[in-house]
Parts: sequence; structure tokens; C-alpha cells
Amino acid sequence: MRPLAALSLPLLFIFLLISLTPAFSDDAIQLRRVEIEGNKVTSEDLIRSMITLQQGQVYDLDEIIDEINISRENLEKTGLFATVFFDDELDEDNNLVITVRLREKNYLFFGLSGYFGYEDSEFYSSTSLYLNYNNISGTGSLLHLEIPCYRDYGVITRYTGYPGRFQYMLGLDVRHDYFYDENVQKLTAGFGYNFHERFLLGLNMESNRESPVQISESTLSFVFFPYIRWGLAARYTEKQKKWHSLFFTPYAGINVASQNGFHNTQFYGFDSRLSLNWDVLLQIVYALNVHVSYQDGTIPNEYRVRSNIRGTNYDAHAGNYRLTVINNFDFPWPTDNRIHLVPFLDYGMVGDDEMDFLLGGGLGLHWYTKYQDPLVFEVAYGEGLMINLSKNF
Amino acid sequence: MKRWLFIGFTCLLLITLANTSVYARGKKKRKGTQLTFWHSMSIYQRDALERLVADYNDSQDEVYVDLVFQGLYNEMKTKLIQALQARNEPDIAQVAIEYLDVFTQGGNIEPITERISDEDRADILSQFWSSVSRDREIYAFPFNLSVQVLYYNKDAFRQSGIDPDKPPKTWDDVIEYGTLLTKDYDNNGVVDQWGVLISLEGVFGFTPLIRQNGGEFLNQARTHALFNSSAGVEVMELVQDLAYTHQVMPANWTLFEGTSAFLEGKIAMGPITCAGIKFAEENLPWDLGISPLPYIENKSVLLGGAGIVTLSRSSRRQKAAMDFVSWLTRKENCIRWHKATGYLPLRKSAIDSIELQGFHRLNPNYRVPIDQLPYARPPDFTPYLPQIDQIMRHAIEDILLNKKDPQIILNIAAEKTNELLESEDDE
Repeated sequence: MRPLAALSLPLLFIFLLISLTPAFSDDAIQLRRVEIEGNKVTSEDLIRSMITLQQGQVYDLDEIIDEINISRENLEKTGLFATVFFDDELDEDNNLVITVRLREKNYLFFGLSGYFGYEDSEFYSSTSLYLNYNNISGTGSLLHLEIPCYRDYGVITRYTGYPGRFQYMLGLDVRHDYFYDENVQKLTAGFGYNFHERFLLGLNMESNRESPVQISESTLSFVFFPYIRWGLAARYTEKQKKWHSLFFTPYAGINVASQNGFHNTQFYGFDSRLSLNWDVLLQIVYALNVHVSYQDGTIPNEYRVRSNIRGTNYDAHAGNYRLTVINNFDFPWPTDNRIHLVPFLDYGMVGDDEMDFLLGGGLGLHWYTKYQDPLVFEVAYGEGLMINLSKNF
Repeated sequence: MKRWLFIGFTCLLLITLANTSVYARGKKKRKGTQLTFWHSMSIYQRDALERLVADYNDSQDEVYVDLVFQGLYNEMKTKLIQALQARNEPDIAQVAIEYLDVFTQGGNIEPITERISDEDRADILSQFWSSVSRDREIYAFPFNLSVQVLYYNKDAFRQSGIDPDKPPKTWDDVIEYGTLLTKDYDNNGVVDQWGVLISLEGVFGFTPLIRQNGGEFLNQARTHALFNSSAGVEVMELVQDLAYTHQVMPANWTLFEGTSAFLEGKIAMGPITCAGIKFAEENLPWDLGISPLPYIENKSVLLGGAGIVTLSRSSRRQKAAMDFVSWLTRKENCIRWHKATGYLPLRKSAIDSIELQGFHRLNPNYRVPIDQLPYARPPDFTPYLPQIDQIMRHAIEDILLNKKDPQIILNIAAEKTNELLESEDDE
């Protein structure tokens, strides 16, 4: 028994040493848990899908830092969070516990969008009430609801989901178009795949029925829009001084004959937009957007290429060709960066065989409030006078 | 007509909602104890502070902190003195560490040593506590503290054939690099790009350099000036040489001219506070490099910035104020403050955190000031520091602009300084 007793003490000591040795050492540490805090709306599953740290895995410090930086970038790029903080602490067994503390942004945006104008002694307008909710069911999906209330009356809805690298979109428009005096019903479905954060490929499909009030027949069209987006449409950090994107969508459609004796007709074309943004100095951003569009065939009114030069009546300047250049200079107000002054100059050509040269310019005030992203008020002068309330052009 | 009415009504509704949404947070939370916090943070630093305070107000219902901008440090000091005299002081105020003595000597603020938790005392670095302590008593909570670092234009380095990853380490290197970086591109006799600009802002620009050269600004008892020693004179000669002998630095530029030129890329290097890193990284049109402040013989940088004093008279408000300040400087918030401004993180737990190490891996410029902490020291505090600063500014102007003899000018400045310090002794 004596040798056994003599052995038992060192064995006990070794056992104690092993059991008390922390998983954490200079070289490696075991990640016991990843906890999530602060997500009131966003689903935990969505958040965890963006965190590349694996619970139970042993990491060295460099690896942990790399994974945290990747995870943070994934979370920040969703645009859903105002702050992302990775807190680290050791539990009672000296294992690492990472707590991801998030503060969510406001997801509800609403307002008035569109324009009012006066050109050739006529008033024109296209205004809508809109509501965007950016995080439907906590999955980052977007719901857009729009109620046109002057040029058109009706309702426009869009739902866009982002499962992983995929994105899909469903839309339904039911409205009356006063400009062409017709009823429009449009159903949209589409999907895309992000091969890379700077490369999106997808296809949208639309069925569009236009029913002029004056005549009994209607036109049903089916349109296919494959599209590609290359580059960054928005920067993720203000350290980035230049960011660019290109969007290109060729399309083809068929108009189905509604009465016997008529033939089906076709149309086709493309839309493209090149966007170049440059943070010149002191967050003064110059944005250049070049739009090139072409189309041919029997074009339904819904798909006609129109002017996008601010200060001109968009509907009054339409045709098969468009080449326009939109210049914005964005000056943050020195004492309050929620307010931006945005002088702009737009020019280009729109039309058929004979194209109109159009020029417009003016000054905008963009006010970033909690529910406006931003509230836009622009006064433009071109072929006439326009007050623009839309950030899209 | 109905359309117009509808649109008009909608616009009115939206404007109302937009206004309500912006200010709603502030209004609905104004219950419980309301504390007034006077601060001196402007532009992007102000935005960052406002976000932190808004988060605090949203996080609980007992205390609402009302943030009021009261001008920069000097203006704040004047307003705070007036408010104290009128017994209309705020609950919390941000006071530059060099102005703290004005209030401690007058007995206007009480030590808070006993109110600081053991955890805060152990976690916040000792250099920061020493910057807000006088005679072994703590008078303020450290908040926005900074050191000078060398900002340099990496694009200009590349164009001059200098490796942008090897910034100058010593002032001799600065002269060598400056010679290469100073350019008259169009050969019209006017320099288009200067190698360096040292904005010797009185005491704060001069003190670290004299310490680097083995000297001190004032003696330890703060009873007389030491800056007119050979160490001080050599520093001034170095500055004169940069402008006149080596001609790598403009001699007669104001701070405003220098700042504008730096933004435009017309100055390749310059010592600037680390509190500007965030602003510089996001606003400069050129590739920014940050490196430790070059040294002469020893490494030394000046610790500057401000602390937060609590002035509430009732113990309930005093406790609420201390709780808020402790919240404001806790680990997560001091990391947020560091990231949003460039100011130093106060806590060891913050510096050691994986969050901050991850941030520094992606943003190495922010790490540089922290690496300088082992040799960072606050200025030689005395209640007369503002006046001595003015004396030094005039002296530096005489030496740099008027090319006067550094020894003579520094002796005159030292005499004036000693008169001030002696008057303190008399009191």
C-alpha cells in the first residue's frame, strides 16, 4: 500500500493541476459562448448567421480578432445597426465569452415623395405618400408601400427579402394613371444573387396590364429584366473617399394581343446607370450619375423612357433614347451634419430621332431626421420651375 | 381643389411628424433628476458626445442629462467662473486640465477622491488620474485626454521617394525628410509644399520638446521657470533652424493658415493632437499617416485635454452626476469615444479589449497615441498657466517671426513667469 500511497499524492497534484489549468493561455483560448444583446426586432438567427466565431472552438488572439472584424463588417453592412460592440470576458472556468451588443437603428421611414412643377404654362406633379419598413420580421426584409396622389392614384407595394446571398422581390401596383388616362395593374417578381459584395446578378419579371379609359381593350405585357450591378452603391465607412457602381439591365417584352385578328407585338431595350462618388474634402461629396437608355418596338406607356433632368416635366420629354448627366455637390452644414446643402446641375438629351437637349439646375436642402432618410427639398429651374421632394432621380 | 387640399394637409402632417420625431426623445425623457452638463466639444466631437448622452438618457428614467455647449475651453472657464460667482453653476462641467487649478485654488470645486470607486481607480490609467489630481486629491474625472502625434501625408512621401511606412523618428529625421518634401514645383521662388509645420502653441507646444531635450518647463515646486535653460534654448534654435537654416518650415504662418495648408496637402508633416485623427481620416483628401511624435534625446509627449468636474450642491444630485460620469467613461463608452474622435481610451480594460484590438488592426493610426502613453506627462500645473502660456506665445513669436536671440527672449519670458509664480507664493 505504501508505494500506492506515495503515488497517490503526485497523481492528485497532477489531477488538480490539469483541472485547474485555464483553457486560456498566452497562445490559445476556448470560446465558450457567443451571446447577443440589444436586438429588439432583429432575429437572433439572422445575427448569428453573420457571426463567424464558432462556440467551443479554440482560437489564438489573432484569429479571434480576425473573426470579430469579419463578423462586425457583416453586421454593419446590413445597415440595421447603429452600433456593434464585441465585449469579451472570461467565465468562471477562464473560458472566453463574447457578448455582441447591438443597438438597432430606426426601421420605419415615411414621408412625401415626388415633385411639383410649372412648365409651358401648365402645372404638373407626381407625388406619393410612402412608408418603408426596413426590418420586416427581424430578417432585414424591406416593405415599401406607396400611395400616389396626383399624377396617379392607387397603391404600389414592394417586398424585398435577403436570405443569405440571395435576394428576392415581389411587387403589386394597382393605380390609375391620369397622364395617359388608363388603369394599370402590374405584378413584379424577381430574384438576384450576390456573387460578391460588389457583384449582383439577377432577373426581374413583370406582367403589366394597361387599360385605357377611352377604349375598351387593354394591353397585357410580359417583360423580362435581367440585371447586373457592379461596385458599391453606397459607402460603408466615411474613410472611403471614392465609390462607384454600374447598373445595367437589358430587357425584352411581349404585348399579348387581346382580340382576335391582332398580332402580338414586342419591344426591347436597356437601361444603365453609372454612378461615381468622390468625397472631395471635409465630407463634401461630388456625385456624378450618367444614365443611358435605349428602347425600340411597341412600348407600353409604363416602360417609356422619360427625362430625369430636374427642372423639366419628365412626362413631356420622352422618347426611345436618353443620355443624361446628373451632378450633385453635397455640402454638410458645418455645425449640424444632419443638414446638407446640395447644389446640382443636370443636363442631357432625351427623345426619338430628334432629341431635346435639356438643362436644369438648382439648390437642394437634405435634412436627415429619424424618420426621413433624408427629407429632400430641392428647387430646380430648367424648362420650367420644379420643387423636387424625391431623393431618387 | 381637392388634390391641393390633400397635398397641403399631407405636407403639414409630415412636417409635424418629422419635427416630432427629432425632438421626441428629448422631451419624453425629461423626468426625474435633470442634470445640466456644460461641455466644450465642437463639430464631430460634439456629435459623438451627444450620441453618448442620448444613449444614457434612453437607458434609464431616473436622470436626464441636458447637454449645453459653452464654447471652447477658455470661454468655458470664463463662463464657469461667472456662474460659480453667481451661484448658478451647472451640475457637471468639462474643464481643461490646465484650468483646473483656477478652480481648485479658489476652493470652487471639492475633491472627489472618496467618491471614486475602487474599480474605476484601478482601471483608469495612473497618468490620467495624475492629470486631474492636485496635492494627492482628485478633482475631476478624466474624460477627453490626448497627446500629440505626427500627422504626415503619405502621398507626399511617395511623391518624394520616401517610404510612407518609415516616418521620421527623430527631429533630425524630420529635417532630412523635410528637405526632400519641401517643393517649389513651378520654380517661381514660392514654396508649394512645405516639409513640416510645428505650431508651437505656447506652453503646450514647447513643454514636450524641452522635456525631450532633458529639460523641464518649471521646477517641481512650481516656484520658478526652467525653460530658459540650455535645453530650452536649443529647442528654440532647432525651431529657428527648421525655418531659416534648413528652410523646411514656413516661419510666419498663423495657426489658421497652417491648418488650411495642411488640409490642402501643402504641408507634409506636423505634430497635432490625436483628438483630430477621426476628423482627419474622414476629411482629408490624401492618405494620412500617423506616427509617434519625433524626439530629440528622450521620448516625451504632453498629455492634454479635459476632465469632468461635478458641481452639484445637493448630495443626491452629486451622486447622480457621479453615476453619469462613471457611465460615460465605462469601458464600452470610452471605446466608442476613442473610435468616434481619436481621444485616448482611459481604461486598461478598454485598451486590452478584443474589441479595441480589432479596431486598431483595421485602423492602426488610432493605436499610435496609446503607444506613447508610457512617456506622456501633463504640463507643469500652476494656476498661472494661462498667463504663462501667453508669455510663451509672445516669446515664440519673437524668436520665430522676428528671428531674435532665443536665450535673451527666453530669459525675459522666464523673468515674467517668475514674477507671476512669486506673486502666488506671496499670496
